[in-house]
Amino acid sequence: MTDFVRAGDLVVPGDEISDEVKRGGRNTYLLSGRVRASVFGVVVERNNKFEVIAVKGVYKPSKGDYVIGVVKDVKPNVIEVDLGEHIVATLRPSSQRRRTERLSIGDVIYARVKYSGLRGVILEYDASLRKIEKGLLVRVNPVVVAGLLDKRHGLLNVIRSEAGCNVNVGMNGVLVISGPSVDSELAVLSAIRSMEEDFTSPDLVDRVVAQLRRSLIVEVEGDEGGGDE
Amino acid sequence: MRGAEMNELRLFREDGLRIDGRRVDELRPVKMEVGVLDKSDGSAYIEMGKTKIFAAVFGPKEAHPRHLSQPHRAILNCRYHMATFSVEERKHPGMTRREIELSKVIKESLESLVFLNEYPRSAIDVYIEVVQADAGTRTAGLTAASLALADAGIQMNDLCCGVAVGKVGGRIVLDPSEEEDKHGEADMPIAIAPRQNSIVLLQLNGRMTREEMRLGIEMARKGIEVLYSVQIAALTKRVRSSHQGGSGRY
Repeated sequence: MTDFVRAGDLVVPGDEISDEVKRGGRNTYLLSGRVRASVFGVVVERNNKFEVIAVKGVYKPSKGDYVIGVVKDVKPNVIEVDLGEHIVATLRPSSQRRRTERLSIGDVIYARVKYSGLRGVILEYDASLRKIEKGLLVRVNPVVVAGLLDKRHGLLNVIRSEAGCNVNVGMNGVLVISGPSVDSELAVLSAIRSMEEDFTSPDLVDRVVAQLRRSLIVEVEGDEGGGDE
Repeated sequence: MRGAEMNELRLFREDGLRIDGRRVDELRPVKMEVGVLDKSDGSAYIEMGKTKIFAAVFGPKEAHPRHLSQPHRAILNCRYHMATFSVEERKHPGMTRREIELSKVIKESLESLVFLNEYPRSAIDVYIEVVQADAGTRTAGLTAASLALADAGIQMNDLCCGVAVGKVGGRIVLDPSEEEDKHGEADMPIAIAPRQNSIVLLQLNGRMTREEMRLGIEMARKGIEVLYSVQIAALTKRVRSSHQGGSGRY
């Protein structure tokens, strides 16, 4: 029972991760009794399994994921949702709830994946489905999503307390940042973008917070300067 | 006078080294870089001696034309192309028979690396553009392409490195240069997936004995070990360099 890497290590496709066959998670595969990485990325340990978070890459939907998408088309029985890349998910409203009461083309929704496979991607039409009314819609790399959702970092809470912004994280790499002002939203965006650059460093949270404070100050100063003139 | 010189063409020096000063089992200087192009999903650049190649990857994305897409796996398209200015005499810009063949051979090698069934109904496009050709372009192109695929975050079972082995003046040499390739007796490009230790490409132009081939493959394996370490360094540097870039701005 040997692990060849530790959480946080950088791996390339083919690298051995562990010889415990059961510990293979997302983005790993088995070869000659060893769990190996199948993408270039960072190793994380979740539920006693090793996963590899790709540094870059397209999203692959899987059941239970929370995603953010844009309503592309509303048909009589089905709503098509664009999840980015080339993934179009479908949403089938149940007969009890009238779909017209809620969604129209262009709406941004937060939903859970119910099924992903040969029949395409189907989203859950239940209480988890939510319409996002306002905010800044941005696309980020998978490492950023993983960093934001990492409970140990608690970055979402930090961002909320520092900038007053709420960040909705879609596991498909789409974020909606909504806050009191556009400036604060942009400050949060620059802090999140800084994660793309230094996601392997151990002091990730501190760096993001530092960047966030810096950009918030700049925004405030910029505002004052504009007022004087 | 010139004709006489040509007849006395020598590919080895008196001290036993090759004309460019390399040992028989020595690679040309190698340089690799990942993430060199912004507009593609993944990219890489490789220099092996005077050979210079870019590789770019798009996808996985929707397959076009639609009828080519497979319900259970991705299709992989590969285009190996040489720039008009990559060789001494201007090459016409279209795809030659040779380029079409190499595209096919490289595509088949890459197909053995990528987990195509992870991306149903999609297409992955690989473009290999030879900017300067000086022997060993198919193997260097394949090496760069596997880096670009890894950079694009595509699931694959291994990287892959390639190098050619030649027979020059009766001796087996690693990574022949243009001159050695032109005047040698045989040329054998080999590509290996290093972690799996499996050969993903093997071609032979000319004749070699069984023993020479065994020696050649052994030599190629050693060269590929070196190439693989350069590949890993290039990938790691991609993360580290952007890391440094980030801290520099603070």
